[in-house]
Amino acid sequence: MNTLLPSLRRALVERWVNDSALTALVGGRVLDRLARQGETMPYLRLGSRTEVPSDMRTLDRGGWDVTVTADLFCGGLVDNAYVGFEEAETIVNAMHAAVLEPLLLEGFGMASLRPDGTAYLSEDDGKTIHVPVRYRMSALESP
Amino acid sequence: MSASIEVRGLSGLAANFRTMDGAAKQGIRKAMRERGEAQHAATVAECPKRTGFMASKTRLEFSPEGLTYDIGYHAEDFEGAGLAFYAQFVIYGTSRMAANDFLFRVHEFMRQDTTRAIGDELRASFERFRV
Repeated sequence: MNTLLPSLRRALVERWVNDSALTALVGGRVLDRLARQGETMPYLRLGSRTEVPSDMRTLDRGGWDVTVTADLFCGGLVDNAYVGFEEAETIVNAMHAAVLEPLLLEGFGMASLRPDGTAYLSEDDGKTIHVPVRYRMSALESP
Repeated sequence: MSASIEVRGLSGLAANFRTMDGAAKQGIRKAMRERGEAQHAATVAECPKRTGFMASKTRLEFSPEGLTYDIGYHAEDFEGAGLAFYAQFVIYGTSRMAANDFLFRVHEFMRQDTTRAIGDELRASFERFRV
Protein backbone atom coordinates (compact mmCIF):
# COMPACT_ATOMS: atom_id res chain seq x y z
CA MET A 1 0.00 0.00 0.00
CA ASN A 2 1.43 3.37 -1.01
CA THR A 3 1.91 6.10 1.53
CA LEU A 4 -0.68 8.86 1.54
CA LEU A 5 1.63 11.53 2.89
CA PRO A 6 3.24 12.89 -0.33
CA SER A 7 -0.10 13.44 -2.04
CA LEU A 8 -1.55 14.96 1.12
CA ARG A 9 1.42 17.30 1.41
CA ARG A 10 1.07 18.46 -2.18
CA ALA A 11 -2.71 18.89 -1.95
CA LEU A 12 -2.53 20.77 1.33
CA VAL A 13 0.17 23.20 0.22
CA GLU A 14 -1.65 23.81 -3.07
CA ARG A 15 -4.95 24.42 -1.27
CA TRP A 16 -3.49 26.91 1.20
CA VAL A 17 -1.28 28.72 -1.33
CA ASN A 18 -4.25 29.17 -3.66
CA ASP A 19 -6.70 30.30 -1.00
CA SER A 20 -7.13 34.05 -1.38
CA ALA A 21 -8.24 34.71 2.21
CA LEU A 22 -5.26 32.85 3.66
CA THR A 23 -2.86 34.36 1.13
CA ALA A 24 -3.98 37.81 2.20
CA LEU A 25 -3.00 36.92 5.76
CA VAL A 26 0.27 35.01 5.30
CA GLY A 27 1.40 36.34 1.92
CA GLY A 28 1.56 32.86 0.38
CA ARG A 29 4.25 31.77 2.83
CA VAL A 30 3.30 28.09 3.20
CA LEU A 31 6.57 26.21 3.68
CA ASP A 32 7.21 22.55 3.18
CA ARG A 33 10.71 22.89 4.63
CA LEU A 34 12.41 24.28 7.71
CA ALA A 35 12.18 28.05 7.91
CA ARG A 36 15.28 30.09 7.15
CA GLN A 37 16.72 32.29 9.84
CA GLY A 38 14.78 35.54 9.84
CA GLU A 39 11.93 34.14 7.74
CA THR A 40 9.27 36.80 7.31
CA MET A 41 6.33 36.25 9.63
CA PRO A 42 3.58 35.25 9.58
CA TYR A 43 4.22 31.93 7.87
CA LEU A 44 2.94 28.36 7.90
CA ARG A 45 5.24 25.38 8.02
CA LEU A 46 4.14 21.81 7.45
CA GLY A 47 5.34 19.83 10.42
CA SER A 48 4.94 16.37 11.92
CA ARG A 49 2.84 13.74 10.23
CA THR A 50 1.78 10.25 11.31
CA GLU A 51 0.25 7.50 9.23
CA VAL A 52 -1.16 4.22 10.56
CA PRO A 53 -3.20 1.56 8.70
CA SER A 54 -6.86 2.44 8.93
CA ASP A 55 -9.52 0.18 10.40
CA MET A 56 -11.61 1.29 7.41
CA ARG A 57 -9.42 -0.70 5.03
CA THR A 58 -10.95 -3.60 3.15
CA LEU A 59 -9.59 -6.82 1.67
CA ASP A 60 -8.82 -5.20 -1.66
CA ARG A 61 -8.32 -1.56 -0.66
CA GLY A 62 -5.77 -0.27 1.77
CA GLY A 63 -6.31 2.85 3.83
CA TRP A 64 -4.55 5.17 6.24
CA ASP A 65 -5.42 7.17 9.31
CA VAL A 66 -3.27 10.26 9.08
CA THR A 67 -2.45 13.23 11.26
CA VAL A 68 -0.65 16.29 9.97
CA THR A 69 0.46 19.30 11.95
CA ALA A 70 0.85 22.73 10.40
CA ASP A 71 2.89 25.17 12.47
CA LEU A 72 1.89 28.81 12.27
CA PHE A 73 4.44 31.39 13.39
CA CYS A 74 3.38 34.99 13.80
CA GLY A 75 3.46 37.92 16.19
CA GLY A 76 5.87 40.69 16.95
CA LEU A 77 5.88 44.42 17.45
CA VAL A 78 3.90 46.50 14.98
CA ASP A 79 3.95 50.29 15.46
CA ASN A 80 5.10 49.70 19.01
CA ALA A 81 1.96 47.69 19.71
CA TYR A 82 2.11 43.98 20.33
CA VAL A 83 0.24 41.91 17.78
CA GLY A 84 -0.05 38.19 18.21
CA PHE A 85 -2.86 36.01 19.41
CA GLU A 86 -5.66 37.82 17.58
CA GLU A 87 -3.71 37.57 14.34
CA ALA A 88 -3.08 33.88 15.04
CA GLU A 89 -6.75 33.16 15.65
CA THR A 90 -7.71 34.89 12.40
CA ILE A 91 -5.17 32.88 10.43
CA VAL A 92 -6.20 29.58 12.05
CA ASN A 93 -9.82 30.28 11.11
CA ALA A 94 -8.72 30.90 7.51
CA MET A 95 -6.71 27.65 7.51
CA HIS A 96 -9.74 25.68 8.68
CA ALA A 97 -12.05 27.39 6.17
CA ALA A 98 -9.68 26.60 3.30
CA VAL A 99 -9.82 22.86 3.98
CA LEU A 100 -13.58 22.58 4.53
CA GLU A 101 -13.90 21.21 1.00
CA PRO A 102 -12.36 17.72 0.63
CA LEU A 103 -8.87 17.43 -0.85
CA LEU A 104 -8.24 15.44 -4.02
CA LEU A 105 -5.44 13.00 -3.20
CA GLU A 106 -3.62 11.16 -5.96
CA GLY A 107 -4.31 7.44 -5.62
CA PHE A 108 -6.84 7.96 -2.83
CA GLY A 109 -9.63 10.12 -4.24
CA MET A 110 -11.36 12.77 -2.16
CA ALA A 111 -10.84 12.95 1.58
CA SER A 112 -11.59 15.52 4.25
CA LEU A 113 -9.32 16.91 6.92
CA ARG A 114 -10.81 17.66 10.30
CA PRO A 115 -9.22 19.84 12.96
CA ASP A 116 -7.83 17.76 15.83
CA GLY A 117 -6.40 20.31 18.21
CA THR A 118 -4.66 23.66 18.34
CA ALA A 119 -2.27 25.11 20.90
CA TYR A 120 -1.34 28.79 21.19
CA LEU A 121 2.20 29.06 22.56
CA SER A 122 4.51 31.97 23.26
CA GLU A 123 8.14 31.43 22.38
CA ASP A 124 10.86 32.46 24.78
CA ASP A 125 11.77 35.55 22.73
CA GLY A 126 8.56 37.08 24.11
CA LYS A 127 7.14 38.11 20.78
CA THR A 128 6.78 35.06 18.55
CA ILE A 129 3.50 33.16 18.70
CA HIS A 130 3.71 29.50 17.68
CA VAL A 131 0.47 27.72 16.88
CA PRO A 132 0.67 24.00 16.07
CA VAL A 133 -2.59 23.09 14.31
CA ARG A 134 -3.26 19.37 14.04
CA TYR A 135 -5.56 17.81 11.46
CA ARG A 136 -6.78 14.23 11.13
CA MET A 137 -7.88 12.33 8.04
CA SER A 138 -8.83 8.81 6.98
CA ALA A 139 -8.58 7.76 3.35
CA LEU A 140 -8.97 4.57 1.34
CA GLU A 141 -7.00 3.77 -1.80
CA SER A 142 -8.88 4.41 -5.02
CA PRO A 143 -10.43 1.23 -6.47
CA MET B 1 1.12 29.04 36.01
CA SER B 2 -0.59 25.71 35.54
CA ALA B 3 -0.09 24.09 32.17
CA SER B 4 0.17 20.64 30.79
CA ILE B 5 0.57 18.72 27.56
CA GLU B 6 -1.37 15.48 27.52
CA VAL B 7 -2.94 12.84 25.36
CA ARG B 8 -6.00 10.93 26.51
CA GLY B 9 -6.62 7.23 25.99
CA LEU B 10 -9.77 6.70 23.96
CA SER B 11 -11.17 10.20 24.56
CA GLY B 12 -13.28 9.11 27.47
CA LEU B 13 -15.49 6.90 25.30
CA ALA B 14 -15.50 4.08 27.79
CA ALA B 15 -16.35 6.41 30.66
CA ASN B 16 -19.71 7.12 29.05
CA PHE B 17 -20.93 3.57 29.48
CA ARG B 18 -22.47 4.37 32.82
CA THR B 19 -24.98 1.56 32.76
CA MET B 20 -22.47 -1.10 31.89
CA ASP B 21 -22.44 -4.20 34.04
CA GLY B 22 -19.80 -4.50 36.70
CA ALA B 23 -17.89 -7.29 35.01
CA ALA B 24 -17.53 -5.27 31.80
CA LYS B 25 -16.29 -2.26 33.74
CA GLN B 26 -13.82 -4.46 35.53
CA GLY B 27 -12.57 -5.83 32.22
CA ILE B 28 -12.26 -2.40 30.63
CA ARG B 29 -10.52 -1.05 33.73
CA LYS B 30 -7.97 -3.86 33.46
CA ALA B 31 -7.53 -3.30 29.71
CA MET B 32 -7.09 0.45 30.18
CA ARG B 33 -4.54 -0.07 32.94
CA GLU B 34 -2.52 -2.39 30.71
CA ARG B 35 -2.78 -0.08 27.70
CA GLY B 36 -2.00 3.00 29.78
CA GLU B 37 1.09 1.41 31.28
CA ALA B 38 2.27 0.19 27.87
CA GLN B 39 1.74 3.63 26.32
CA HIS B 40 3.49 5.31 29.23
CA ALA B 41 6.50 2.99 28.85
CA ALA B 42 6.64 3.66 25.10
CA THR B 43 6.38 7.42 25.68
CA VAL B 44 9.24 7.36 28.20
CA ALA B 45 11.31 5.29 25.75
CA GLU B 46 10.67 7.75 22.90
CA CYS B 47 11.24 10.90 24.96
CA PRO B 48 14.53 12.58 23.98
CA LYS B 49 17.05 12.23 26.80
CA ARG B 50 19.89 14.57 27.53
CA THR B 51 19.66 14.67 31.30
CA GLY B 52 16.70 12.27 31.53
CA PHE B 53 14.72 14.80 33.60
CA MET B 54 11.87 15.21 31.14
CA ALA B 55 11.48 11.47 30.59
CA SER B 56 11.36 10.99 34.37
CA LYS B 57 8.46 13.47 34.55
CA THR B 58 6.23 11.62 32.10
CA ARG B 59 3.01 11.27 34.04
CA LEU B 60 0.40 8.55 33.71
CA GLU B 61 -2.87 9.38 35.44
CA PHE B 62 -6.03 7.30 35.47
CA SER B 63 -9.51 8.72 35.97
CA PRO B 64 -11.08 7.91 39.36
CA GLU B 65 -13.04 5.01 37.83
CA GLY B 66 -9.99 3.83 35.93
CA LEU B 67 -11.78 3.95 32.57
CA THR B 68 -9.57 6.57 30.91
CA TYR B 69 -6.00 7.74 31.29
CA ASP B 70 -3.89 10.79 30.53
CA ILE B 71 -0.21 10.74 29.66
CA GLY B 72 1.83 13.90 29.52
CA TYR B 73 3.81 16.61 31.25
CA HIS B 74 2.85 19.18 33.87
CA ALA B 75 4.45 22.61 34.15
CA GLU B 76 4.57 22.34 37.94
CA ASP B 77 6.96 19.38 37.72
CA PHE B 78 9.43 21.52 35.80
CA GLU B 79 8.90 24.77 37.68
CA GLY B 80 9.20 22.91 40.97
CA ALA B 81 12.72 21.95 39.92
CA GLY B 82 13.53 25.54 38.97
CA LEU B 83 13.22 24.90 35.22
CA ALA B 84 11.15 26.45 32.48
CA PHE B 85 8.37 24.23 31.14
CA TYR B 86 10.53 23.20 28.20
CA ALA B 87 8.45 20.12 27.33
CA GLN B 88 6.33 22.35 25.10
CA PHE B 89 9.38 23.41 23.10
CA VAL B 90 10.58 19.82 22.72
CA ILE B 91 7.20 18.45 21.67
CA TYR B 92 5.87 21.31 19.55
CA GLY B 93 9.21 22.73 18.34
CA THR B 94 9.90 26.43 17.88
CA SER B 95 10.63 28.76 14.99
CA ARG B 96 14.29 27.78 15.39
CA MET B 97 13.94 24.10 16.30
CA ALA B 98 12.05 21.20 14.74
CA ALA B 99 9.33 19.52 16.77
CA ASN B 100 9.68 16.04 18.23
CA ASP B 101 6.08 15.21 18.94
CA PHE B 102 6.82 11.74 20.29
CA LEU B 103 3.91 12.10 22.74
CA PHE B 104 1.34 12.24 19.93
CA ARG B 105 3.26 9.84 17.71
CA VAL B 106 3.19 7.10 20.34
CA HIS B 107 -0.48 7.85 20.99
CA GLU B 108 -1.33 7.50 17.30
CA PHE B 109 0.49 4.21 16.96
CA MET B 110 -1.14 2.72 20.06
CA ARG B 111 -4.68 4.07 19.89
CA GLN B 112 -5.95 1.30 17.59
CA ASP B 113 -4.73 -1.34 20.04
CA THR B 114 -6.51 0.50 22.84
CA THR B 115 -9.69 0.74 20.81
CA ARG B 116 -9.51 -2.98 20.03
CA ALA B 117 -8.95 -3.90 23.67
CA ILE B 118 -12.05 -1.92 24.67
CA GLY B 119 -14.01 -3.44 21.78
CA ASP B 120 -13.06 -6.94 22.90
CA GLU B 121 -14.26 -6.23 26.42
CA LEU B 122 -17.54 -4.74 25.16
CA ARG B 123 -18.16 -7.73 22.92
CA ALA B 124 -17.56 -10.06 25.83
CA SER B 125 -20.04 -8.01 27.86
CA PHE B 126 -22.71 -8.20 25.15
CA GLU B 127 -22.19 -11.94 24.93
CA ARG B 128 -22.85 -12.20 28.66
CA PHE B 129 -26.16 -10.34 28.22
CA ARG B 130 -27.22 -12.66 25.40
CA VAL B 131 -26.87 -15.90 27.34
